[in-house]
Amino acid sequence: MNVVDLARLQFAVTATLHFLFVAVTLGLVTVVALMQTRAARTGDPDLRASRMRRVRFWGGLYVINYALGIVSGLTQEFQFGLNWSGLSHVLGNIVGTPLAIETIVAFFLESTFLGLWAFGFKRVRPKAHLALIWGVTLTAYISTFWIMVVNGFMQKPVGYAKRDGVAYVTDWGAILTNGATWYALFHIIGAVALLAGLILAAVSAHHLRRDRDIAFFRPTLRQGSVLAGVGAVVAVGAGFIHLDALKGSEPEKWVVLMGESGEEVEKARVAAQAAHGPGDWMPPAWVAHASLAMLLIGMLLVALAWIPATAVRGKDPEASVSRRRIRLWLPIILLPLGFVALICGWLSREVGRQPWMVTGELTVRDAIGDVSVSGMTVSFVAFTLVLGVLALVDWMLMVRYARLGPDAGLLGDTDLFPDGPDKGRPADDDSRKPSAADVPVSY
Amino acid sequence: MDVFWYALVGLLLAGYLVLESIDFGVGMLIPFAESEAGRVRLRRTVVPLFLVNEVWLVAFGGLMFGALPLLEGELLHAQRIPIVVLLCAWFLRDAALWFRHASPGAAWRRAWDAVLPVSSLVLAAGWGVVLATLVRGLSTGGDGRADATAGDVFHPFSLLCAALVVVAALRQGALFAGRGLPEGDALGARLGRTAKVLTPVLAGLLLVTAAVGAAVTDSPVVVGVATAVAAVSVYASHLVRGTGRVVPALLLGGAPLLALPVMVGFAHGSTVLATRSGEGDLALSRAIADSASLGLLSVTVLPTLIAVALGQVWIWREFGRPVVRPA
Repeated sequence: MNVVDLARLQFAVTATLHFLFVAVTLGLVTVVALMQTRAARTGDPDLRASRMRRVRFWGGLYVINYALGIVSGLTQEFQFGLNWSGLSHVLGNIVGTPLAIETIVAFFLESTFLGLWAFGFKRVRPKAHLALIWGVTLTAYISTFWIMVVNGFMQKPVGYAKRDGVAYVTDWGAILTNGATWYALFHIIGAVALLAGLILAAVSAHHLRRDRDIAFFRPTLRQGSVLAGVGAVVAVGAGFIHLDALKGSEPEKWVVLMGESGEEVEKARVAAQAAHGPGDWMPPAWVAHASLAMLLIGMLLVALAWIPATAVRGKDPEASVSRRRIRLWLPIILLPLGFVALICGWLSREVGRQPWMVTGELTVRDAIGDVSVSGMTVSFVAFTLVLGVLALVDWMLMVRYARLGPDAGLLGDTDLFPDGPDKGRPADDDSRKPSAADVPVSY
Repeated sequence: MDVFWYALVGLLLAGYLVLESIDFGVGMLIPFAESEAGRVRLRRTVVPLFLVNEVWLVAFGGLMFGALPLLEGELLHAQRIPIVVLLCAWFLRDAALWFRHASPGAAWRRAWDAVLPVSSLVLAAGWGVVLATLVRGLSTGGDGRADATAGDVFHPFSLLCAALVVVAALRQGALFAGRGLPEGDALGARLGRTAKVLTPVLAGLLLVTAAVGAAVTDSPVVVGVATAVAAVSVYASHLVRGTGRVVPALLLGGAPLLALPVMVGFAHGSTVLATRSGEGDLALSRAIADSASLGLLSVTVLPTLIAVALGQVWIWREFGRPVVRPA
């Protein structure tokens, strides 16, 4: 493998990992912020306690997931300098600023708010605590926006001029209102709602199938299914609008994603050669399969994601629904499909841009830094190993936590998400908690 | 104005080193705790805080990319292997702190108890090496670009600076974790002794660094003054510690960590990436972003940095207080 392949593979592995965990982060944090808002709005102490219990459980899942979002994001931040210094040589003035704002305005604040929120259940006043989770949510979306500003520019460069081979910004307004940014942003917002909804529904269904914590999980099965359904509709709708816009901005990507063949592809090929000179400017044909898979899964989810909500019809909040087997299995089957669609979407957008790093301006080959094959191999192997192992461990921890249910306590850490002063720890319900013998010391 | 952005980027790195040195130190001290309760307590002293400390490095990387885009590319190109090692150690350190309590098994915890000190040690030593090579000036690679070769990385001056950061971090960690522990607490006594023993070691290392630095760098005065100030600060930190005031002792104890980025800045002035031969170095005027980018950065990033700094003070007040639990 040459340096370009290795660098691309390294980016693909780390970016896919990052995207998977961040998508879950974005969706779950919104759900948790809404749950906490509902809890804060009620004056009834019992109702508030039961709602805060939900905040702690789903918030715990979110926090475990966040760990990998951070470390994979750090890899992305430093990867630009490590492997893609051609990008900063030619377009540093344009992509540098949004990435700087993203790290400082968004990520710096987000991590700070998150630490305060996760450890502040008892230390911070309830209103300030609620403000913190909304702070995390808001900064997470601001972060997404700035990243998509860079990504949108890479798809469809606007608002700049080149002098002596270096690009300078001429119009920040055009860069910030780039259609390639905004269509994708709406598509992503739909997709993260879809994922969060599927997770909510799948975890709830897992417990409802076993008749555990029925009152706790009934509402979240319904909310999750509805959220997933709405998210699927938004994602598919925004996706179609986006696809149509590609016809004008990235015609080569459009013909390949549409699975066109023969004459249409030739026409695009000739047009691209007329614009960029001799060479092959077409993305690889296999992206069409990824795009088709995403589309089919999207349609399937639009049709099916709602169905599990019907399993919890009825007034009695404690009534068992475990006999509605098919509807409880459904979200567990749909969840991995959601992740597959997410990766296929990433592939469609990013591989569909090939061979360009920035469409029409900078090829991937030219964007790559002057790195030796051995240097690239070292970073590829090291990041893949470390992040791969940590991602597996993190995923395992999330699954374990989700299966243990609401009172397992987060990360076994009594200061992280303690039961609030409003409610005692259900000490007598030890059945699904790790037994005292497993824990070397109590604290 | 160019110097302002360069200094701000440097300030973020210095802030990272000073704050995270505490986390590195506590991480390396984990094997010093003899009981599970001691290890739990050590971890708890840094667990909410390491997140807000490490984001300083994230901000450093981000602002460098925005304000000095060419420096980011050249610096990471030159320091490729050290940076990859540092990043991997960073991920593992974070995972050890996040995951240690996520599963109850004893073997699980033992595994993370091994990962935490090793990754913290690699982080502390690695930063010492990276900064030392920058102070000394990098080699020029075959392609005419700056390059930190194996000879630079394992140069005696680099190894000395690595030891300096490790010892300074250990001392900071011992001071920080030892706060507020009751009289007669076994772990507290050990931490106190550790900090005491490390003080002369650190002062000695600073003197040797000054001597070696005078011989092998082009800026003996900068290295001499920075290490001397750091040595005096460490001694002052020791005296203040004796009167029981830990916060000023920690602030003064951070001086050796501050000294390294200060040396990089003052030794090379407006050459933001220096090579010993002069070939392949990078001048500030060439590295700085265009004025439109800097304009957007100054209206977005500057107010946020101020807000975040205030937020961080609040967090340290809320979460920096010693947590004492019955063992």
